[in-house]
Amino acid sequence: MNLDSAIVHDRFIKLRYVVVSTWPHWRTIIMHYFDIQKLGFPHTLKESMDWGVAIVCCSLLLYCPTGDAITPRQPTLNIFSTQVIENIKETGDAARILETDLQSVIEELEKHQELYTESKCQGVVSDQGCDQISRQMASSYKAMLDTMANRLPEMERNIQITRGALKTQLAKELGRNRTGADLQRLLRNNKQSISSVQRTRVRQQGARLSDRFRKYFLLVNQSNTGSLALLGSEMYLDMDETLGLVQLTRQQIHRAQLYVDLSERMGTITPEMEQTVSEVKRIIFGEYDDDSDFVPATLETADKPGKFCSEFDANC
Amino acid sequence: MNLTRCTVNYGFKACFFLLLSILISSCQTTKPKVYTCTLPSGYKVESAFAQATADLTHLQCHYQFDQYVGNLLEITTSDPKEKNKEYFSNFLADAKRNGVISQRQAKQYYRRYFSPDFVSLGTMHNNCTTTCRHQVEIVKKMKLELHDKELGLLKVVGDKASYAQADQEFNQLLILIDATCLACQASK
Repeated sequence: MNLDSAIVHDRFIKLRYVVVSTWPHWRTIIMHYFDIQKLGFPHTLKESMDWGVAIVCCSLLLYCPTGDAITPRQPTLNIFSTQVIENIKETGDAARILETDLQSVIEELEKHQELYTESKCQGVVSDQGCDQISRQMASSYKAMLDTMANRLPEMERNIQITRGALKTQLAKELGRNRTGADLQRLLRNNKQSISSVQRTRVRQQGARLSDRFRKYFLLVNQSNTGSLALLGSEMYLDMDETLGLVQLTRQQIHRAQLYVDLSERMGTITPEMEQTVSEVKRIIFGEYDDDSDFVPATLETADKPGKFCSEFDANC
Repeated sequence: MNLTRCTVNYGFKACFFLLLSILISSCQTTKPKVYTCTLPSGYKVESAFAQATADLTHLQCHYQFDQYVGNLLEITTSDPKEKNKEYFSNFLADAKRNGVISQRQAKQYYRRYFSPDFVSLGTMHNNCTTTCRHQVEIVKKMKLELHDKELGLLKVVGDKASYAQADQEFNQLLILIDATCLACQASK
């Protein structure tokens, strides 16, 4: 649900609840009004009273009749505050800058590596051409490390802020304000049909970091998101995982920088260096191998659910 | 005179002892009537439910309620249909009426097998204080409940859509619980 329309909807719901819960008072006022009509008030006063009663009646007609308003509702779910949405956008922007900076450096590094292999420089000593390629490789590798070392802290900070904001909202809204059974009800709140639940998975491990955040931003704003609680939970878990990976990568980058500084000659890409490069690509460009941790629904949902309704069924 | 009185006394005494011995012997031979509970079996669904309901009017059979439910579930799997849900609903309503189970228990039995709702999830306290403290146990209970829903919704009723919904919601609930508990833990 779009956030603005969600807010408007929530206000309507609250207003409806207020009107319904205070219905006996309204009724008394209207009854008094009819009594007053019999008395001899001036015409202008009577006219303004007519307007007042008309407004009250209209609001009652608009918000009163449905049965679910009679029962007190649960507090409105507020997971995606304006601040959280802004944080998601900022994190996505930061990720995009990091990707752009890294893209060219990594491409250059891979080009040099390819050239080094094609020129059969592996194991060749004192060849001027191979030495030059080696130096270029070393410099590209160092540039990649430097870019990462400069950009990652900002990235980490952004993710931390977004995750922190989501954490606070989740702990409050789902943790302290709701029971276990409420969680299941929340899953169904925005559900039109079963098929709408089988939407695209939010936690995309094979996506670029910036794409992930762009998708979060879109999902939070689009109207057919499904359960906001589920979306928030998936995002939070994903960010937690990403933050852990970013922190690990920072440590790895730091170690690699130390290694490069200590090495006298960095002609060939060592397995450690290759690992660092793949780790960076994995985090930033989403090159994951395994995407099997999500269990899909095991059955087709073509059949409609049964119609029998028992007295013991809460959904009837 | 004395002889006559003596004869009468002896006669009374003899009659009294005779009656007493008859009473004692009759008490010894008449045993209290014991009802034999027979767990339903076979493939006739309607008669199985009728038999189970009749059995459960006897106090002796009450403690076997779970076994009755288990057997009825087993029997109904031979003919999966929507009507089975109604049979179970009526069976539980009768059991409730006969005082075998409470209203709450009847609801829990029904929802455990025939509704996508998970009864293993708490309804009393907030998630940070209950669900997250017993996260492992609750998830384990939910897994067992999903198996029961597979039996009830899928094998007994043949309601694929509702089972798919339960399965889907089970996975989504795991994500919700994971995230909520992580957030609760981090917020301490």
